[in-house]
Amino acid sequence: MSEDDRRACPPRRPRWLAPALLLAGLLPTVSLGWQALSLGTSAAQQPPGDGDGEPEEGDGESGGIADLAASTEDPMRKVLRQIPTDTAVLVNVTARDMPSTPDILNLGKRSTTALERCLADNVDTGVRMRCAVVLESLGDRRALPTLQAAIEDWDPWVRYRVVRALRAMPDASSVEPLLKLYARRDEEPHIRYGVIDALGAMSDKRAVQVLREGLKKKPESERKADERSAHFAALWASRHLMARGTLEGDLRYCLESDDDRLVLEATEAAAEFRSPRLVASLIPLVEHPSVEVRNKAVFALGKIGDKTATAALLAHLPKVREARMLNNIAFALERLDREAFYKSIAETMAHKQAIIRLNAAFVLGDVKHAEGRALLEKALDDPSDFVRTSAIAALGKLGVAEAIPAVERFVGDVQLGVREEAIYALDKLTKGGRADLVHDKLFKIDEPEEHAAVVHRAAVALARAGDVRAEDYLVRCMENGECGVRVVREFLARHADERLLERVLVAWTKGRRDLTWLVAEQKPAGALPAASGVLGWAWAHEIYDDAKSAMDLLGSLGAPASVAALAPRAKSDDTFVRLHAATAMARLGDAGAAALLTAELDNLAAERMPVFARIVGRIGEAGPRATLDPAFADRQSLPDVPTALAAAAVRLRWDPEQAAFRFLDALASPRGFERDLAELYLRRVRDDKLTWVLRRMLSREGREDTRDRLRVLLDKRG
Amino acid sequence: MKPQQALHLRTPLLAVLVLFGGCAGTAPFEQAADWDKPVPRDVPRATVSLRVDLHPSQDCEERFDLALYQDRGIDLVEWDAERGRCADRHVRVRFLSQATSPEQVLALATKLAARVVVSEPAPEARHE
Repeated sequence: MSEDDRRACPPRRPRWLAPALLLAGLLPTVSLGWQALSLGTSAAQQPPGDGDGEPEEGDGESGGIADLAASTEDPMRKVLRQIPTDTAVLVNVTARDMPSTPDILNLGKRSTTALERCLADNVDTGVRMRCAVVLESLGDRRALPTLQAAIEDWDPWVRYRVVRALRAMPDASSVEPLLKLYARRDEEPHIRYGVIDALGAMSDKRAVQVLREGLKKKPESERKADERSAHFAALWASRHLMARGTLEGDLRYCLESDDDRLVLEATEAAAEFRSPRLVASLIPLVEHPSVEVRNKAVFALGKIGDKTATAALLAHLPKVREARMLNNIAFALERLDREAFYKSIAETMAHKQAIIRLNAAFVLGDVKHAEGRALLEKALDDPSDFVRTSAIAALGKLGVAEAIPAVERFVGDVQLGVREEAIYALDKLTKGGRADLVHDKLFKIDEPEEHAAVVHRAAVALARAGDVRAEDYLVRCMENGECGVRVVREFLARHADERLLERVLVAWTKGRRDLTWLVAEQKPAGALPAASGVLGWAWAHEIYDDAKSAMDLLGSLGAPASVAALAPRAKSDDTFVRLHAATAMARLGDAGAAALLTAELDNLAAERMPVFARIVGRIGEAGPRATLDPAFADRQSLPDVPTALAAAAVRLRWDPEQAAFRFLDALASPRGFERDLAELYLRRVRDDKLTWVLRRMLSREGREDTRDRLRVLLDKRG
Repeated sequence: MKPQQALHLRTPLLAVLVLFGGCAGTAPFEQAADWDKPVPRDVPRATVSLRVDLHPSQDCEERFDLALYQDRGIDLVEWDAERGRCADRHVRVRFLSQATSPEQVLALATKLAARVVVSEPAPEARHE
């Protein structure tokens, strides 16, 4: 047989082989299909909305199918379902069958005991580590004895996760086990860092002593890690336990150290501590090789506000080579010695390099003193367009009406950039009185396609002022996602516009979930059926973020009939879906929603509590707030700090004036982690009223460390 | 009763009186001076609305507030939306009407700002 013949006639195979191979190949698929069908049948027999995974009692006829479904249930789901009731379920579980962390967290603190058993008794290192991670997220203090015992785990990564978990729920009983681990010379470096960090979180004097000793210890050899900055960070977390003079001495030691990381951390701390006795150690850092240290040292000197730093800053000003440094020095000097600052900045404004003149003009605008006007008006004749533009913008920021004639000269400038800034500065100086110029010369600029950015900025400015001439642009811009919700909101606040609202609703229905709060606030006609429709659609397609937005919207629209659509979602396996649903139900006056929400809080993983506060804090209706408030007021004095502060944080969003006092107590707490958590919650609420209340608190605060915290909070609020 | 016995009885009594007297005289003041305390909702409050030009600085609004709040009669200082501006600001000062008066608030504000004008008649005392 020739080669060609062989190709034409391949060797014969038995006839039954092909169908048999095909069947064998399809067997797994057929089997899976059958299983899926069985499970699907089982799920379909469950009552609608029953998503809690609890086994259902079936009748005799369906028993066979249900049994088959149970025997083929995903092992992971089976384990998950058993966690709240079977404390030993995780003892023999393998990594493959271990449910995911978010799924376990959905069970909340009902999973604590099973996780403790897992950490103590499971021989799989990876599984034990996962259990420690979940325990950390849960923050359930009942697990402390188990975690303290597990600190001796043979696997370093399990030990590390255990240390992290102990750090997350600081307790005096954890100090000794942590100190014991700290004392071992054979411990892994990453665990040592974890232990140092955890010791800092304990707010315990025994830990402070050890940390202070560690702060002064240089590494014994080059092979050893330098742990001084880690010790300092931990010590800083316990600073409220230290005498001010001692802390000051430690800060000075760190500022003068040869470890750059330590110097940087201490410089940041010095800006918060604000002791004039740190100035001498900070001044040399103005010339530190690290740009971060340099800038933070100048910033700290400005915050401390001690005049002895003036000469050093003035001397450094002519040597500045970066805009950020120039800004920092200017702001510091403006506080320390305003006269000296203006004298010095005048010289900078005459610098031979345009980039420095430009930045100096910018700084003059930012410090917002009328004294800067003469210098800025002089800069209007600068040969550089950029310096002139910067000076014009700065004049606008000064808000001094006397600057109007000087700025007006540039409204027709040949350079578009100069012209544009002059128009905006003029509009600012006249408090919005030159919208005509913004419209005629910028919004209606010739060749708008060439100057899209100019047109956009003008449209946004006009829209914010409620100018209807920008409406068409705003609609398109909103639909393209190029205009933020805030611009649309500001326009609508000044100009009720049905057409724009309709388009906002259409955009929301098409998936623009960032518009949810605008739709909720404006309540356009048709919002209710749209929200119901989106909820049904999103649920069917398992797009839960869209479902949550739809539930938020339903909650805000005030139709009690929507409770029927929400109630089944409040039984979801997913904590956040439940929270959105129950919150919406509470807003609609559902009698059982308050109990759902408080039960959620009592069981919730500590890690998820800030989200709880944000979601429930959105309840704006007086009635539901009055119903829920006593339960949250009770909980804010619970010994469990995360739960107490989460309850207080809901109230902080509802009534900052009253609720802020719980946070003031927390900021002065003997427990550092309570102070940190309070700071976190206070930072997240951007309400102006809270800013005003915090100012009152700062003004009357006599405890120095609490004062420092309030000061930092207010600085961050701007 | 012998004079010596009377002295024995009087000494602890004196100590108790000194202790309680001292507490009564200093505790409320010390407590008030330490940090901010909530004032019950039913304590009467009143408001005064002002137009002010603040002394220009990066933090003019906050400086004004911190100084004004030193008076414990000031309950809340609420600002217009013109954040960051120092000139021509509108501010509403809520005060404890049993602790201070609109005239005292005005006098205090005048000390702290470059220019102060009452922007509307001070409303009658009201419960918030």
